[in-house]
Amino acid sequence: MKPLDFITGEIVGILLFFIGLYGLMTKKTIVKTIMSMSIMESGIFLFYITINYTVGSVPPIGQAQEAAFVDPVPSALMITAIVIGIGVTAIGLTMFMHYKQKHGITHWSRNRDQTGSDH
Amino acid sequence: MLYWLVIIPIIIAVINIGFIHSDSRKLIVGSQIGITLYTTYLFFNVRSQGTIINNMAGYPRAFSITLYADRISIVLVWLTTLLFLGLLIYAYSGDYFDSQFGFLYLTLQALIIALFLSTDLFNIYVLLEVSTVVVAILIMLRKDRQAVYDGMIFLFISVIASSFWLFGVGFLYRTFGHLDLHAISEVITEVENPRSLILPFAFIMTTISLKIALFPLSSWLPKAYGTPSAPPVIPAILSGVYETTGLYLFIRLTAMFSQVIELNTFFLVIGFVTSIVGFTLAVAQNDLRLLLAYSTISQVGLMTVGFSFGAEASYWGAMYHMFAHSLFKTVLFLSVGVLSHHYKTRDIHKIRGVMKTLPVTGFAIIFGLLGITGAPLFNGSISKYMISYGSDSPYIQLLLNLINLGTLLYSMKFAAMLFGKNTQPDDIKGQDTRHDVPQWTTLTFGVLTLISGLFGNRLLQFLYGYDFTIYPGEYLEKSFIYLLLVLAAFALYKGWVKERDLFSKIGYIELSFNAMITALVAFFIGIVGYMYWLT
Repeated sequence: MKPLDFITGEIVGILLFFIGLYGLMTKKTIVKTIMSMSIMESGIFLFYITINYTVGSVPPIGQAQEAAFVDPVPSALMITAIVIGIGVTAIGLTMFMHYKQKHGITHWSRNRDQTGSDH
Repeated sequence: MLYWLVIIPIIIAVINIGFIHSDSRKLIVGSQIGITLYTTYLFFNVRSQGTIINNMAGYPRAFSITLYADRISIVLVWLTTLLFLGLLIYAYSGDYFDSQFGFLYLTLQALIIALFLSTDLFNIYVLLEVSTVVVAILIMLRKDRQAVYDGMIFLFISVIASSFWLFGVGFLYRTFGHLDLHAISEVITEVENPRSLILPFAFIMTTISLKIALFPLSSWLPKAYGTPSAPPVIPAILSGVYETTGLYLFIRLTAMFSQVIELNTFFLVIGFVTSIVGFTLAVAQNDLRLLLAYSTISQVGLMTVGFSFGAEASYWGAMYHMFAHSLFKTVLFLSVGVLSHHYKTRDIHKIRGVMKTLPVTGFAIIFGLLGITGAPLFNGSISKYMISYGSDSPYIQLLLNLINLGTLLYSMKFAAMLFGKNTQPDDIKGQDTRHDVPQWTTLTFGVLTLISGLFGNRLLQFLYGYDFTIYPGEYLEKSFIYLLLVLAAFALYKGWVKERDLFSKIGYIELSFNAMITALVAFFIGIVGYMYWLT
């Protein structure tokens, strides 16, 4: 067994997830929060597409040879998850830009303002 | 067919925003009435013929995406449609009700119904994610500073939490090769080493605990519910319906995992802590919406306790409390909407004399408060009575009574608004408000609170098919305890709570964004550690 064999997609995925989480715990800048979220999600995507993979298996379509097929479900799930991730990141960035341009705030603060509207 | 319940609101939402350029409110109300009637029909079907299962695209069960309606889920769907219809009537004349609002409202309804019906874990992830986005946009409908900030916090926290769910589902898929809840619960007992389920369980329960706002993951909830500029129906939906989706997932997922790992004690403790922290902070609030938001946290803690006793009566009690909570919390949030409209403030100390100026809303508030405190004859009394069946331990009974005392305390604070001298601004004084539709809608929900209490055990039989006998002697005893607690709460309120700064200091304790994430990670590590110790 080579020394680098334990670096599988699953392990790297789990590491990425917790690196992203670390960023979320420590960074006060809103943009960095959004970036950490994307790192976290990438970890999950990597984890999914490598689960249950055996060496030597082939794609489930367009193959004539007799070999084990790769499970296509995780990849299909991840396409959906990536799309959702992009959507959420886009909304987060839009909100952040709106917030920064209008109120000039780029960091998470603790000030709470409970007045403001009559509704 | 169940999928109509999901598709129809979305279709109407798209027609409303894309094709109708004039007023589309009648269309939306019409569609709501239709959906409510159809759900009623489905409910009676489930009642007479048993669970309805729809496999999409004709694949066999466990391989297809499945919509599944048993007694529990169809009752919640029914409740959802009823509340959405009622809230729509409330919002009908509001200035915020335009086609954009209608679009978001109907989409949210479809997503919530799908959350109740879906059994596919990945589908649930997608629904959680999309409903989070919709709720975030609804929170910041008016785009003012606080609203955008609150919306961002809610969006980010929920998205991060649902990525925990996604990760947990990945582990489950790796182990079982299934994504269907029922398929997994059939094979879950065949797992050789229960420790292999610790990670997925911990990931998934972290998400759910954040969704239902268990302590220490509850800091986002007052921000999302208490946004000053959101229309009054938004917190009512969030507290009445959206919260219930989390509890529903809690029931389903703990039922699935408890075959291997039992976490009842853990959630019992967390539930009690949540409830006590919730009411302490609720008593400390001066903003009406924040008070109700913290009270939601407290009630959710109580329901978690009920689900975690492991006794049948308390389980169904908590289920009924979920139903009751939706009703009385809707009443209270809607009354706050009416009050802030007529008094131009939401400060609890600046509103007085509601009984004289707005008697209809006044009665609705009384019904709501009697429901939430569990006064005899109201729905809260039935559910709290059943929850107390979960344990014989005197300490547990004491804790339950303590929670009720806390509930009474903040209800007293709330009820103080009803009396006293009218403090309305001069330009609004003397308006004729007797034919105000929002007020009468609020009162209707208030009367439902009373009805669902008067016919408590019959309704329980009707909805869930669970027979429960209420012994008059015991019920009288509970009513007597309730009266004692009212007196104690009144004395405490007059003598201690009203004048102290201590509470006003507590009221401002809240976590920053980073602290919330740290709490999330700490909760996750805690739950993993506990399960390692357990197995």
